[in-house]
Amino acid sequence: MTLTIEQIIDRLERNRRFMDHVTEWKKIPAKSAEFGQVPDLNPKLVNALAKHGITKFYIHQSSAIENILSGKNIVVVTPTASGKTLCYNAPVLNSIIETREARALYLFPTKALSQDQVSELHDVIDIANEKISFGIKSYTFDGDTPVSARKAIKSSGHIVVTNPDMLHTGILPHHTQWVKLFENLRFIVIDEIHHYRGIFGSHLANTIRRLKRVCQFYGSQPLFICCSATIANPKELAENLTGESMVLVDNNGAPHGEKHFVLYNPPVVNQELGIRRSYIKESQRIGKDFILNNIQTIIFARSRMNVELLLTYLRENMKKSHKSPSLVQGYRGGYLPLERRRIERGLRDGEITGVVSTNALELGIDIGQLQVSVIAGYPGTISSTLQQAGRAGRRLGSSLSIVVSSSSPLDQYIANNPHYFFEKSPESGIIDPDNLVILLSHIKCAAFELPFTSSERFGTNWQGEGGLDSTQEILEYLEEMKVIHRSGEKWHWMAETYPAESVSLRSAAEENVVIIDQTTPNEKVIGEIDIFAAQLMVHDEAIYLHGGQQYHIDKLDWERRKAYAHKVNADHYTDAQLKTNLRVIEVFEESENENGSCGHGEVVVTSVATMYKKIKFQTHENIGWGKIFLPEIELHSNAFWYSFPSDISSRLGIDNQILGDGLKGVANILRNIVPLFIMGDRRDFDSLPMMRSPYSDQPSLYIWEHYPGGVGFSKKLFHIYQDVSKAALELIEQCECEHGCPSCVGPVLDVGENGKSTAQLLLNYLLQ
Amino acid sequence: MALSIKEKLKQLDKTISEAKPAVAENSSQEQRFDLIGGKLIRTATGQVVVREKSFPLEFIHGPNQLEELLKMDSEYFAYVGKDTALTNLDIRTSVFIDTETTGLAGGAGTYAFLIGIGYFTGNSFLVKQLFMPDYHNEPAVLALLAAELRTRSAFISYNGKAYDIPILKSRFVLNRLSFQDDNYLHLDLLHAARRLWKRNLGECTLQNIERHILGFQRHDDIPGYEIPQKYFDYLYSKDVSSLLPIFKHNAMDILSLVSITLSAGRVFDKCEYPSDSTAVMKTFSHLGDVKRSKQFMRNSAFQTQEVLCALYQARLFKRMSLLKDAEKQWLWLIEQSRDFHIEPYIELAKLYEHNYRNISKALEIVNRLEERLQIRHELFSLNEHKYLTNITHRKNRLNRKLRNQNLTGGKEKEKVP
Repeated sequence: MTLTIEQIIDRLERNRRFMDHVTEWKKIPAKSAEFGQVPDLNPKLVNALAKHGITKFYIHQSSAIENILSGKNIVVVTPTASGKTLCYNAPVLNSIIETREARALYLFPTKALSQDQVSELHDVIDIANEKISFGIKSYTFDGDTPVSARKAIKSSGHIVVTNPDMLHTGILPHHTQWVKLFENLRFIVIDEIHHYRGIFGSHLANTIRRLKRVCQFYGSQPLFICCSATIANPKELAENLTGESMVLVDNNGAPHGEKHFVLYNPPVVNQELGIRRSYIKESQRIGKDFILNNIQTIIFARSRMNVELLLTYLRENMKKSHKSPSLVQGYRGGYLPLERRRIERGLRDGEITGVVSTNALELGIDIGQLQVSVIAGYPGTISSTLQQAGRAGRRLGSSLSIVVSSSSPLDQYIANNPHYFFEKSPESGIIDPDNLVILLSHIKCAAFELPFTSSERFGTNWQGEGGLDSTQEILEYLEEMKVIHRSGEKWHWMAETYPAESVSLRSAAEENVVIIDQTTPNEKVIGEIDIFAAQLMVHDEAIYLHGGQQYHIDKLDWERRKAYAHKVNADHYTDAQLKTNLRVIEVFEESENENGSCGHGEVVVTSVATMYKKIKFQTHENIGWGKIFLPEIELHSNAFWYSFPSDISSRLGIDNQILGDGLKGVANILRNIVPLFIMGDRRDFDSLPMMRSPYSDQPSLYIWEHYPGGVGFSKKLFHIYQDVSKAALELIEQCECEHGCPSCVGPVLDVGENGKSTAQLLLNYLLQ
Repeated sequence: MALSIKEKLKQLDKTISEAKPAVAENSSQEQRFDLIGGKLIRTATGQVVVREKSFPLEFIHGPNQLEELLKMDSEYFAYVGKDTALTNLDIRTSVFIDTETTGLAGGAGTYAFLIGIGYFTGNSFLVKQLFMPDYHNEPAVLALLAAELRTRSAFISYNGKAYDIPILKSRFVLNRLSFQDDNYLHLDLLHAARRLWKRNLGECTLQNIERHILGFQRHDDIPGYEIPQKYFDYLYSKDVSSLLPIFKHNAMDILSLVSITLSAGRVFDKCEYPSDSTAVMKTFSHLGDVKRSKQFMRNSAFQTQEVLCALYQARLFKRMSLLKDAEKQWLWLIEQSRDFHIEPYIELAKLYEHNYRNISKALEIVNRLEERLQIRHELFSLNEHKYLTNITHRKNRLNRKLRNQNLTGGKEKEKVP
């Protein structure tokens, strides 16, 4: 006898053992649809949509479409399954129906998403084509597109669906083959813009500057339609990415059934070390219960390895209960459309009850709506969590999302401060399109695409206003380097090479270390990382995690930038320590009061990895260490700093040794809490405590960016450091450990017995 | 102590190698293009350097005299290009074309700084080279090229379809000029070379073909990969004499285009090593030229390829419904013992069964095939293995039909061939 979801929810709520560790159970009541006016679309389109099942428009859809029809750029912010694709498909199709030559370009972050979109489009287009004399054509254009199809797409594809990398290397440098597209381009649709932050976002912003430049050459002025998940600054991010002013549309009118949002924090099993019960096993326990009751469930895991683990456990559970193990399926990025259709169908037909996935299934691909979403480990951002939770939820009937926290500091903080999910999002998408290294690469690409005029400024808007002051200087530099040549009134590309090829949209340091798998005699390159990350992650004897598989680094050939690895199944991971030194070169902004001072600016960081620790999985025990012998790296980047007054020790009544511990503790916790406010990666920045900073001679904390030139984190921190510090303080206060643990200021071995209390003192002092 | 943008860039940008020392610019001096045989032409949109060299029609390049091409029947262009449309190619209004560019990558940032064209005039062969003395002169160069092409009807090139013409089109788009080539025929010799000579020569670069087919060896020729940098260096040094090797190389390329066209055409009359006779036969077959295929079979020295050619010819006969010819060819193919092919057996069996309605003859062929295959048992290739089922089915069906025939007591009317 299986239970309904309402029954299971009820049972769960009455389960003491479960509820003891629930930090929040939020019930969101059902919401009915809010409809808006039918926008002023061509009757043929309205007709086709009606035939497709769409007769009414939600208020956000009406809003979005009307804004676009009146010539405004928009950014639409609505949750999953709220019909956001209509917001852009409708005006685009409308335009094509009214003007046969009209064209649109769609940008999606992944190929899988692109392919999904084209399928969906085709359904509507097929119906629309019945009513019009010509056929509307939409195609994906990416690395998989067969050569034979490319010519047709270039000349007659109305809607070209692609991804940023393809736009960057496959379309823009060859724009003369795309004349029809660029001359008639009416819309550029950019989906999931919250994805484009940090380095990737800064690169994309410049790619869009190039795109606009090419459009201007062919005389078109397309409108931008952006879509974002819920973040703190969607309008700002959209405007920074596109260089256009945006209208924000976020009045979601889509209906939903009753939703339950639960935050579950596994119990502590070792108080002193701050170790909790495995979140993977807890997620499995919770998930299995639903699946055995035939409730369609999706479980999100943070790595492929965890997906495989959960899949194995759950299938064993099925077998033990005499059910077919194929009831539970796995999903990873890279699955072909056929396999995705199979899983989707299986879910619809009830052949598949459970799906375990990485965050690959977070992005809009249509798998239908499930009833329960179990999120194993906080995904790293609020927006990801909400998207993953959004996979559960049908029009009618209840749905349930459960976030199972791991013991990492951010997870713990979120578990104890769930209000972030329900109030305005704290996290911002930050980019810096004017990062000099990134800018330089794209100006090279732009020069290849179209010669620069001597008065041109890169990054102007449609009216030719704004743009980069330093454009001409950069061009002069490139001329000195003999890659461009001034001839007449223009700067022309003057090299045999093809600049876009050597610019990766995801990194700023163009020096990479290549990682080579030597497990089999067939050596295989499994990845590349920049040299700064390389010292941390692929030093000799490191355990490197890639695609869910562990590798042991046998040798890092630093001179030749090659790391040789072989597959292993280790019980530990390695954590390298950087010895870092920092020097301030230029101060951009500063502020001072009687408590201390802070600022941000340009710095030179010299770092070298000196040693690494071996940390056991699950328990986080330190089981060994080793030395690392690598040369120093110098990095020019940006940093934010806070300086305490020189007499802070006496002001707080502590001695210097303890001050040092406290600073370290604050540095540790800040490193972990900053991502809550600025969406990014562990690799994007780092923190550094200094007892006597060479710049100010005072005890200071630096947060410096890993990327040459920085991507805007430092500047943002300068403005929000107090919010960040407040959150850090809350985390410390809420942590159950005595003197410190990995979930807050760091282990006692690192920060000493007084680390936790001193960190609290310092943060309190900062906030007064 | 803030750094200027340039200083910052120098620190950050490690990808650009050390700046090359600046060479003195002679922008104010009049450049002496006449020293390399060129003339500076000033137009409204810029300057073009035009270098012309006229060759008498009797000029010999490799084994060929240029004027022989004027005498070649137009059907040979169709053979060389394996395209019936090329029978309309008029050599007198064709233009041989070869460009020198700033890089192989293609894309909007690749410029064609030297465009070499060659064509027959009344009494000579003219090689005309259009050179871009600096980037801002490009509109003038392209305008001049457009004027030249307006009176022409076809291109003859080496890899022009995939390389030279798309780059030129791209340059026109970037300069907002229109490139009118919709009605142009195009004979791309690279494809012809690969068809005729790849099997025996391997690489089909222009130089390789020149060496082995034309028997022509260049001396002191500038290697292709050095050309872009030489142009870049010239832009700074303004040393016109440094350009001479590029002009010479380009002119040589164009002459070779003429000569290769001739040599390629000749292969269709007489095919000798290193030319590939199967390619010739495939061409006749593709174009449906039965007469030429017969002539070819009669006149050629085949060496190892006679059997394969016969096979292609048989296919041609079948396609043209010349069943008697096809039957003769297939019978020859099953009799010869040099190369074994299943196809003639199957085709004969089909012919006898369906066209001539001679079941016993069909069965005889199938039995012979089975015998041959059994003898070749150890040498079975995967393809031949597949045929076994096919053959068994065929045999069974034929046996059945034969039985029925005998039962109904009379032969079915044999179709008169």
